[in-house]
Amino acid sequence: MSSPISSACARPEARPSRREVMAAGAAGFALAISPAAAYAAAPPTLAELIGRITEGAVPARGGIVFDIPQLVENGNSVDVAIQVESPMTESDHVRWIHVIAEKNPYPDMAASISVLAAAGPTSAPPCVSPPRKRSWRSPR
Amino acid sequence: MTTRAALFIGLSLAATMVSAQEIKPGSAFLSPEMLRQQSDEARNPGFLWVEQGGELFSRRSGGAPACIACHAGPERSLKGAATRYPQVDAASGKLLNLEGRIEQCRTQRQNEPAFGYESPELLGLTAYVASFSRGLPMAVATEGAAKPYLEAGKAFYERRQGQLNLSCRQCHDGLVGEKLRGDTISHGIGTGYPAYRLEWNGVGSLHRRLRACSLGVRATQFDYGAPDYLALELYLAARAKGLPLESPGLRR
Amino acid sequence: MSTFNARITMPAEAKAGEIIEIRVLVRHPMDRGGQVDAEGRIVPRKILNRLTVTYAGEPVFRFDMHTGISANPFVSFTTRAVETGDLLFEWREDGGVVFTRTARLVVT
Repeated sequence: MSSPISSACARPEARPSRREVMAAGAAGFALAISPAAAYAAAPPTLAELIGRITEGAVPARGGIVFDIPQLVENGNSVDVAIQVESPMTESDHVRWIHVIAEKNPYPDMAASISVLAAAGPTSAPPCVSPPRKRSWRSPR
Repeated sequence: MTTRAALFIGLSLAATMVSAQEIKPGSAFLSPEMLRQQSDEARNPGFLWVEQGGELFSRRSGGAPACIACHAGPERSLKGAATRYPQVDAASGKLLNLEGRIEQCRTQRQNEPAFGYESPELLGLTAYVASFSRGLPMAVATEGAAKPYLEAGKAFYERRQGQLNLSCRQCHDGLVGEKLRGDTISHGIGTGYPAYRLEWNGVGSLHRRLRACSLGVRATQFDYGAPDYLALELYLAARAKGLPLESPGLRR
Repeated sequence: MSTFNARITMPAEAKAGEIIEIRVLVRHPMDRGGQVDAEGRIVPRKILNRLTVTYAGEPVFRFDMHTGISANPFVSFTTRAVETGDLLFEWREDGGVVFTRTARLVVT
């Protein structure tokens, strides 16, 4: 039932990961594409991306509650809630929350959220979709 | 003999269970998370279309008066209107659904070109008008002029179709609650439409959903607004009689 | 799609110092591009790439969106009510188009 895809849309990986297969199942018959050809620059690798964010600092674990369903209704839209423990005062507050999905063709997939001290204790649940798939289908 | 009698009783019990099966609304098959999102006007993206419909409703287009010029106070004057569609148009004798009625109003009373089925404008207006009936019981007329259409819809529902040779009934009465391609089979009554489907990333009409079902069993996909789907829509609405209208629904 | 509409849900008034939740739902296809169209051309990316929110002139929230954000994105965040003023919501779309909405918060 899926429409043929142009070779320009082929993903570089030879085999889809389990996660992609699951997402494809949920979306009917979604197929992953890499739009790399659309852009001159290749997307940054995970290490590059994390390096850019941490600027050399060694990350510490903890302090974050990340709420994402284990099994999603449909990969097109997945609600994610993020809570960070912080007093959110002028001297001690969260500046940025970055969401990175390493299996995504573009790892800096989702969001960078900036919150300010003035904001007070903050939770920011953006609605993001993990490895975004484009479905190719016959007109329905 | 005893075994046969027991078997017979068992069979007749099963038969009564199927016939007395209670038709459940589409929302009964949603996950708790999606159900919560559907009822939350701040979260259900279908309300973006309702909002667009609201803007169109009070906007003049060309020289014609806006919808609101006749339908003042739509939250009262159009309350429950959507629960009575599809209905037979008295003048033409044709079966019209809500989309058809809005297009008729637009072409015959406002003298404006039709929006076209499944256009964002018509979806918005339909969702807007339907939103005034949210939670009200479905109440389509099934007697008199509607009766032949209802019969045609019922025949369509029960007819095996397509390469898979399936009727609507085999799944939507016989396999309700079972899983099909990651979704749960519902009674297929369509009271949530126009609905926001995650698969579509947008709002679509019941006929778009019916076309997907037709494709699924590899049967003929009828056009949007085709008489076959209209008759089926009436039959589905009759099955849903008394159940709350849910548009804009949230579906997978 | 030329239709852009936004639904901003927040309390109309709050007590000074109270934490309020602001929920923002917008209509946008968030087209990540890369598909090949009927003429064989590659469709460019067109998403809302940033939402900024200022409250009484002060920036309080910024949400940078990338291609992983769903169509018709929803975001919710909290802020502290300090004074009566307008919250200005500004979305920036690829290509430079900017959409704005305002909502007033009365602080008692």
